[in-house]
Amino acid sequence: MAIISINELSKHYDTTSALKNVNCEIEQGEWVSLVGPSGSGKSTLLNIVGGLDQPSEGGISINGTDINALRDDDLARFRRETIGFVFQQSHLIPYLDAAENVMLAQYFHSIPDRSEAEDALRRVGLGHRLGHRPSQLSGGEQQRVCIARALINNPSLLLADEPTGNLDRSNTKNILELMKDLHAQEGFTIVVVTHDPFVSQWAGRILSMEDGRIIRDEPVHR
Amino acid sequence: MNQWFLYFLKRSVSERKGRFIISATAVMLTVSVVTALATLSLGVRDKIGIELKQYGANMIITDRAGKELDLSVANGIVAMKEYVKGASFQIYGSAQVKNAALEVVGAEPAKMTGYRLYGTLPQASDEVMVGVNLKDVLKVKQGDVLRFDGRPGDFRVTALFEKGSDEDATLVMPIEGARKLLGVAGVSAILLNADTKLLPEAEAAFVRSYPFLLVKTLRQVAVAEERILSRIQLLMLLVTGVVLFSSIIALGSTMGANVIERMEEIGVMKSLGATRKHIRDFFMSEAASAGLVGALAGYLAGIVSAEVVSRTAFGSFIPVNIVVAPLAVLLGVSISILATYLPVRDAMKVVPAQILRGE
Repeated sequence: MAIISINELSKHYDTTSALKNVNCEIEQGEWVSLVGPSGSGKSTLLNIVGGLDQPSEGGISINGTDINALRDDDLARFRRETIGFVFQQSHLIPYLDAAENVMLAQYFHSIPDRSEAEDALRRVGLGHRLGHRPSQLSGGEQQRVCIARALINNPSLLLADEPTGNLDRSNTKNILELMKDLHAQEGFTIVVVTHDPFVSQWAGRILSMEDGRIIRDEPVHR
Repeated sequence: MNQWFLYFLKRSVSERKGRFIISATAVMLTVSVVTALATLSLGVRDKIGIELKQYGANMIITDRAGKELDLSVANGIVAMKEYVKGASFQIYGSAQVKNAALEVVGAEPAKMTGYRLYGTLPQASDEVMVGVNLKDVLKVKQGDVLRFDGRPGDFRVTALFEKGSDEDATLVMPIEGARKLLGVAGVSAILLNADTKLLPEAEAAFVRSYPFLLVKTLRQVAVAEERILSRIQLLMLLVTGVVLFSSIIALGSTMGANVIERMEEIGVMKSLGATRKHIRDFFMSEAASAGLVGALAGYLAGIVSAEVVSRTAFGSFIPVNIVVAPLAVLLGVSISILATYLPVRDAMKVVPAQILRGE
């Protein structure tokens, strides 16, 4: 069953088009990599899928919900119930420690629970960094906090935009292994935007974009 | 609003002390200036009114038939506090000195104001001061003794005085002394400082109670007094308005910069599923906290400033009007919330993707 259905999706700016009539379906539990050169439209597509941006034309439904039709606050509610985000920059709240950053996502979803938030951080290997602020964490550790924050509300869809873009190879591998384990345990769908072939190969399927279009859709053979 | 909302709010305030202090200080400056000006505006009427009253009464009451007024009538007028802000009694009469008929004025020593003295004010009932125009007629100087023809007792000259009016040709002495000298039991005139806003009403009330009275309003004094007070108060209010307006603009810039600096935070909150209400509640509550702290500090600073100004300008403390306190707090919290609301509202209109890309 398709969790994401994209139909004739376009995004136009004043003089350019970031997306041109994109069509695609992503199944529940898949791990999909969106690859392509800079400016190919992959981050724009991911943002629209996550409801962080609006398409100019076309439709997109997630779990059967047409997210274009949702009003701002309904979209916010849908986002917190369904989607988790991991960005290239960690975008952690600087004055909250690691556990509190995770608890903030719980707060917007339901009720914060410190022990649950700490368990989530332990699962990403940060049991020893619970009370540390973002500025006291390394880049890899910050991304781990982001993953814990993204998954704390059990979303059915994890959207990651260059999640390892700021990390070295060793940390990249650690993060991907972590995502692989969590994906295997919890069965959520992952869409990862990357321009790094090493990262894209961890997916089960690769969508290649160029000039606002999906030009290739191929499975990964291991 | 629940305990977790307060928890995150507390974290934000306590971990961003510097920014919080800047916001609270901006509010404090605004509220202190407005509080000081408002306190002075409200108190300046009384203060300057007191100063102006040094220049004389604005109403004189006598008997229509020229008779002396009974003390009960005089006290009855003074008791009408809704119109009367100050009063003094005077006795007029004439007495002879060295065969020259001279006008004698009896007045209350404490109310003898507006004289240029060459000596000291007469305080005892056997003391007198002499108008400068009589100096050559009587050939007296300070310390001399004056004796009235056909009247017992000596009167010591405590001063020569000059007022620049007809009074310079009179003898002025304490009212008790004049009463004995002239054999008058009541008073000749009541000099009033009536409320300048209620002069016609006061005149009507006095005549209604005592129809035999002749009430003369010293229009020039009264009108000038009211005009000066109204203009000063208007000026203070205008200055308050200008300061308030410019302060709100400055505060808006400070709060706006604060929100722009936290755009990423707003983007993250939206990506985590925060509704507009969630975000608005966070920022508005923080603004209200900074506004409350700033307003309380600003109110105290404003009162101290107003007292310093009053002490310097009028030599006395200005009364603190309690109404200013809640208004100052309301003002501080309101302008802080308003100055934050507009940039937050604009920030929430921006799609999160744009904010998180750093655009």
